[in-house]
Amino acid sequence: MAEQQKTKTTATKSTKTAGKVRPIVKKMYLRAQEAAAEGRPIAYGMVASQYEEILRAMDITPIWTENYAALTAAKQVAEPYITKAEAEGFSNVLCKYAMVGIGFDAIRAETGKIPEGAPDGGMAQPTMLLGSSAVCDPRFKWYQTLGRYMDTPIHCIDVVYPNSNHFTLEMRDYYVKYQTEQFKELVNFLEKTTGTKMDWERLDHIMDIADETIQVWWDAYQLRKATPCPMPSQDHFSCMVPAYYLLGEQEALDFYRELHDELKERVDNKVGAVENEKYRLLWGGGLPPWHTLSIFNYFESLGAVFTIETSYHPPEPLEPMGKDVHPLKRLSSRVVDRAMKAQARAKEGCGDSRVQQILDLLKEYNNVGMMMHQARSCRAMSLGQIHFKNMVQEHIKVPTMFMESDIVDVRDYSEAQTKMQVDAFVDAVESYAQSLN
Amino acid sequence: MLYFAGIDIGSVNSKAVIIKQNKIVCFKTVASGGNYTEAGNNVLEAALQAIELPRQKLSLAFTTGQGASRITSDKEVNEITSQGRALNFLFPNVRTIIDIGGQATRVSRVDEHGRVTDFAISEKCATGSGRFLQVMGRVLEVDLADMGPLSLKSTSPVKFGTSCAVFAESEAISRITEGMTKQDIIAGMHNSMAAKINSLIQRIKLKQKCGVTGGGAMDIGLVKSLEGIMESSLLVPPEPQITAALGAALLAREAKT
Repeated sequence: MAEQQKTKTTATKSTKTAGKVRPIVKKMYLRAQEAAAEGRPIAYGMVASQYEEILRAMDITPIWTENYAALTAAKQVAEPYITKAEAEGFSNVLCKYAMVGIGFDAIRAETGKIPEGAPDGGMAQPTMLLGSSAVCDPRFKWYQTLGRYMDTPIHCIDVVYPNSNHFTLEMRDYYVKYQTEQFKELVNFLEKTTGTKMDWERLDHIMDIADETIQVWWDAYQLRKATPCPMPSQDHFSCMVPAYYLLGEQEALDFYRELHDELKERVDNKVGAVENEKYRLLWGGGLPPWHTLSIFNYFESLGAVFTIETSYHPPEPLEPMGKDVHPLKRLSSRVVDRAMKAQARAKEGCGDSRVQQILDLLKEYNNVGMMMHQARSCRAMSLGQIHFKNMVQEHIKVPTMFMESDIVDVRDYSEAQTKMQVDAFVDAVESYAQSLN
Repeated sequence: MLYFAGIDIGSVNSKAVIIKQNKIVCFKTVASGGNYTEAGNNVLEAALQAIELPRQKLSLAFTTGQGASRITSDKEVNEITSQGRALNFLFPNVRTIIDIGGQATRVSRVDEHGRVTDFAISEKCATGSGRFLQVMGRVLEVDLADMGPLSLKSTSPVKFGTSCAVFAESEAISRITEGMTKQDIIAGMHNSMAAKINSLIQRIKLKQKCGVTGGGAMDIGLVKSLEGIMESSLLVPPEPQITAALGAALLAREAKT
């Protein structure tokens, strides 16, 4: 019987460096499998929880469970895990990252082994679960739920995001103190669970590498302001991987140096992501549809390129702190000061840090359209998008498209409807661009 | 003289419009059925036959709609873009367009040239689309053409407790058994649809004048309900179902000039 041809749903990348991310991801899961075989500690962790460097300093191998869910989506194999979680009684409107993870571990608990056909060999059995409050509530509820399927120590930390325009220095110090206490408790938990002591000097060194990585990443993305844009968003959604999942490792720093060099060369030689760049667009909200990143290539076929994005955006580098500061205070200050910096900018502008970021990126990257992804199962990142769009339009009447689908679940996606929307959106962008001339 | 054709292959009906200079010289509608290719070719053929025009005399033929890619044409154009051109042609002062199609409802803002400047589409849900009317028509055993006039006779519209077409179907059955009249149930359904469509309009902000097209615009009950909730009168083309095809024909003419 002839094999049915599989439709390509992953995106074709523009830069060579982006093509190097997939082997890095494979290696991440392989490392965890090796750690499991050797009896070394493995932690399930949540991206952007700010504890990446702490894990690295204590030789704990992380498995970023949300990344794994995105990987199953990109590979079009998420459905069996989602349906397993549904069969376990979880609602299908819950976070689909969590549904994939819960389904995966439910199958493992039932069969006693990693689910058959799991991409990249699957997630190794963790020896601890590290939840966090960063971004959304499934980030600690998910791991609490896993108690049904594994008897594994769990610790959740609070990650502050001071979201107010009324800061004082006193409030800043309070937040830093609170965050430091959270990290201290985490380190205590890790020391107790692994039986090894934190090496503070090593953590400090890892943070130096992390800070430099962020700086190089930031600098590289400044190059995307060029016309034609040298790197599109589909590359970004790969290139953000080392910064979020390997932060503090030399490999991540080397990756962004390479990316920077490649982008510089492309800018110097006027090599764009799209051959004839007609429209520059902003990815203005929501996580991407990992199941169909090829939609970016559809935009490109119409001459449109996404130059920058609010999601997984590199944090603006901060002034380095003195060497006499304790690494946990240094880590906490970074968390709080990044948020405060964004708030300060908003205070001088429109008043809302998220809207201000959109307005800044529209202007700085010379964009004439914006897309937001309303992902059905990702309320934390989809909530308020219409409000943000309305606020943006009080300042600039930029055409906006709302793509409706999901981060993982392809059942919430309609290719025909999305492409029809894209066509109309590009027409609207064309009219808008003409009106500017 | 140059002739231009627009063919709109929709999920329910396929429509063809032929224009010459600034006039619609012919239009035809056929049910799409299960074969878009056949429906698209048949409706164009019917329109050509009606004015005894050989196909090779057409300067350009553009297609639009759900099944646009299923027939060979000079170009496939977007439905929202087509509606913008058509409504601008029919009502030059229209700035907001509501298109209630069988598969989805689309609301768009257009400029003085009929070019789309913003738009919103109903999510993958039947309540805001013509499909909802079809489902309820079947449940109530009322022809689509009779729903509007019946709705206008309602004295006490039913308030539906759901915005889901599937649940609304069972709710309608419950209301029938409770003895509610068909006209009150239909009026309630129209109000429910109108509320859903109005939320789409609010997304892009209404700018006067506002026109309504698509199969849903042929339902006077729905149009009146929309006018009520929007507190605004709506412009309805004489043949609201053919506007996407008309827009495609106008885009074909634009491409030639």
